Amino acid sequence: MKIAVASGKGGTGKTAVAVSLAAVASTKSCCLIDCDVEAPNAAHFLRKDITETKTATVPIPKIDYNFCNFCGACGQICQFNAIAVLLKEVIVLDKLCHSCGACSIACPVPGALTEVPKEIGLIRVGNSNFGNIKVIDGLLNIGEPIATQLINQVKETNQNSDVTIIDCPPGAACPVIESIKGSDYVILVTEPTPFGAHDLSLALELTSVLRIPRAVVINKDDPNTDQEEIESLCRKNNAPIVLRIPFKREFAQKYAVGELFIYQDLELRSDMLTMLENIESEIQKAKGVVD
Amino acid sequence: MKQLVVISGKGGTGKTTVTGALGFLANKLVLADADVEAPNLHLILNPIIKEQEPFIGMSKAKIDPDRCVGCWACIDACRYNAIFKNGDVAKVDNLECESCHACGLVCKESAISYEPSQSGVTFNSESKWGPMSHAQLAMGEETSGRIVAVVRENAKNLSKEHQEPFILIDGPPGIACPVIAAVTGVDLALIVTEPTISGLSDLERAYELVKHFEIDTRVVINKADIASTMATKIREFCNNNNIPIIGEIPFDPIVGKAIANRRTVIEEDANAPASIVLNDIWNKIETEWLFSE
Repeated sequence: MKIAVASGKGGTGKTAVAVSLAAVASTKSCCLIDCDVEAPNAAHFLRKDITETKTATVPIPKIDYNFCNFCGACGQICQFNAIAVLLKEVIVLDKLCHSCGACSIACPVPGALTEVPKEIGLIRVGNSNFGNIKVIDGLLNIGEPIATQLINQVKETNQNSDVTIIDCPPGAACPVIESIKGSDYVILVTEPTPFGAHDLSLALELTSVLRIPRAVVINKDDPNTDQEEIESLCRKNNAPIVLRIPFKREFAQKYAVGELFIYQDLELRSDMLTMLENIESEIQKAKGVVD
Repeated sequence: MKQLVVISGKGGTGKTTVTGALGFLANKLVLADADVEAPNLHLILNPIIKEQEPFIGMSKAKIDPDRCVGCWACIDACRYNAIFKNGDVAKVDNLECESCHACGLVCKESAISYEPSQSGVTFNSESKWGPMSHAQLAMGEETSGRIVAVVRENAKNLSKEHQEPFILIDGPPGIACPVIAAVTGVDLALIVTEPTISGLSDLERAYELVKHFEIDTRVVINKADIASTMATKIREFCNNNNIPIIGEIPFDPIVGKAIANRRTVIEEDANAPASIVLNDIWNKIETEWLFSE
């Protein structure tokens, strides 16, 4: 089963929940994929070594001036303004290129435009300090604008595991969709603040389009805060609150140094295992209905 | 015009909290929220919307089922798996379509057309301390960076219109397109970090980004007292790279109260430990940067 951990708002505790879920699930074969390729952090908590590093590339156009007749077809079709065709020169702005291949299709002269690989980042695979967990992450090169292509490639590196946990990036745009796509379940991590509630509502809207079942985890929970907004959002959107992780300074201190504070707390660990089992049976039920 | 952007790399370090407080202390400025995916600044500044404009994004593909003959050439051409077989004809999945128009090039039946779609809304608003430019991206859209560019442009126009030269920008998390659009052309970047292993590695990435764009940078360590060993490591990183740390804000429950009451930390309690440090940070920014040549 594949479970994505997302949020909308940054800093709610996606990585803390994702790595703890992986730790709890690690009695089976488990893979943790960190899709936050701009600022990956899951490996700090789980990965003891890197066994494989791959360079991720995307295709970008290259012009061969032996054949190019400067007809301008490539520049005209490019929707991303990545190609400028001048009198005797074609400028490719590779940072704007989305690697769609439209220019290659549009070029009428064989050999004039080919696609060549451009490096955009790294994909790293490693083993965990304990349990049977493969830890995979991606690191986008600084200055590269597009995260989505790397996220896609990081996910394709997945080994066949019984359980895959996907640590998603913050936000509500394409990179989050790319990370969540293909999952059986989404856990949305929020915090009991107006920022948390506001962004949870965006995340609920985002995930409803994907039609993947979801549930909510409230992190840094404080019974003194007004939770009505979050609880009402969850009711309206049929997204049950399945776990509350209390705010504790010692949790923050352990998290700060890369310790699995949820896994170390026996009660929380047990609650998380129950949550995982419930999600598994929900996924099985949904598959049963489909079959 | 002087533009200051607040970024972090890591989400949740306190960018919006710091930006809101600095906005209050500056008292007269132009504000911009460049986090167009999950904007929060308006929740504590409570601006009044004066104008809003739909942001028209890319043109997504639309297949006319009456013209489609089911040759599937479009499916082969699409690199985003955005077209699927719907019985005998092809159909576009709007969420996946990246608007590249490759499908239209291969369709021999002229069955594919492109329709511009609204992918967000931009706002010009008025806060208590001056005009504010912000936006909301429609969920799952890909034009985040482009909307950020519009927010930035609108902020510059507001600055000229109101003759207010100081623009303070609340940035998004991460280091890719939306952040790049938030930082290009600014005069100063403030990286808000936290003393955690994740905070440090993301600070390193955010710093590499602003260095790449040759932007003058300062660091603020937020929740500075929660982990002293990590705070030391952050100070070491900043020292080794000659990045001035202009403030270390202690973890202070007043911050949570301020956000819950939908206002800035200083408005909640001007004498709280966090407020005192924020005041000090603002004084440094004012004297060492805003009013200097």
